[in-house]
Amino acid sequence: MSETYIACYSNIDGRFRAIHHVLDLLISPKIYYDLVELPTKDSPVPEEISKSGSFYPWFKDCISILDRTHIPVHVPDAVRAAYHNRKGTLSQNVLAATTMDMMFAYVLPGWEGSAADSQIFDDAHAEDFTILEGWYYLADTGYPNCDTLLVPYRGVQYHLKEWGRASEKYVLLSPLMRVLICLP
Amino acid sequence: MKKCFKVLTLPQEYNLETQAQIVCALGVVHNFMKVNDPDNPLFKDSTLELDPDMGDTAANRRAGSQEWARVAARREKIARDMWKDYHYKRRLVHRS
Repeated sequence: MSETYIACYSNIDGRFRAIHHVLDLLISPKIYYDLVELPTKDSPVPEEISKSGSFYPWFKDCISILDRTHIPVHVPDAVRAAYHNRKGTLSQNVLAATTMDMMFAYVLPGWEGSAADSQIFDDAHAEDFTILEGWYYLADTGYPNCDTLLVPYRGVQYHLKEWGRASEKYVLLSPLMRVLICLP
Repeated sequence: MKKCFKVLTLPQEYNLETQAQIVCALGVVHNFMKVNDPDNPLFKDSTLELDPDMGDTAANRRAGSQEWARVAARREKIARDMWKDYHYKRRLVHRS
């Protein structure tokens, strides 16, 4: 970085400009789609599934994981109400898909904190979040159980420490469900 | 992700569009680091704070159609097949 470059970004205005400069660069299609890409038809079954005796072949069509996270936001008073989430704080609801090796495959930020997860998923799915036929994403119970998503059973304890204690067959779904809490 | 990038734990005083862009940009940075610096301590114990009560409880009611029956059957089949396999493997272990 040249000295002139540093000098012109040394005041507050300049810092704001620098941030926009960096953001524009990072989310420019060339860089963004190079690093954040959805699995394609040619993508192999993820190793995390294919090499696991517990997951293969049951989850061979499960290519990725879908989840939401709430990121705190600063919003103008006029639109505050929409950004109140269930916990009473202000947030944006971010939908993110990650591959099994914990790389982001899709990110949709900017939805209001009060927006329903299923609504955000529908919006993304209708736009550019494509899921190839026959595949599905592993999602949590906030999302609808539909052709393209597999969600856990509701009201079932998934976090038993050992399989040996399993008293219900559903518990066997738990190891993969646990992947959900290891999202990046 | 919030643990990797502390900037995401506090509201930023930018306009909403920029705040959304920051999330996307950090997604890019995250992937770049995963590819080029996978052993970075930032990725150790990376867990997402799952908010079980933040889920949309109405979501599952949406599909009251054939799709619902179809996907419920798919899930049931996976669970059943895994259960059978689990018992089968357990028997093998007991025998040996």
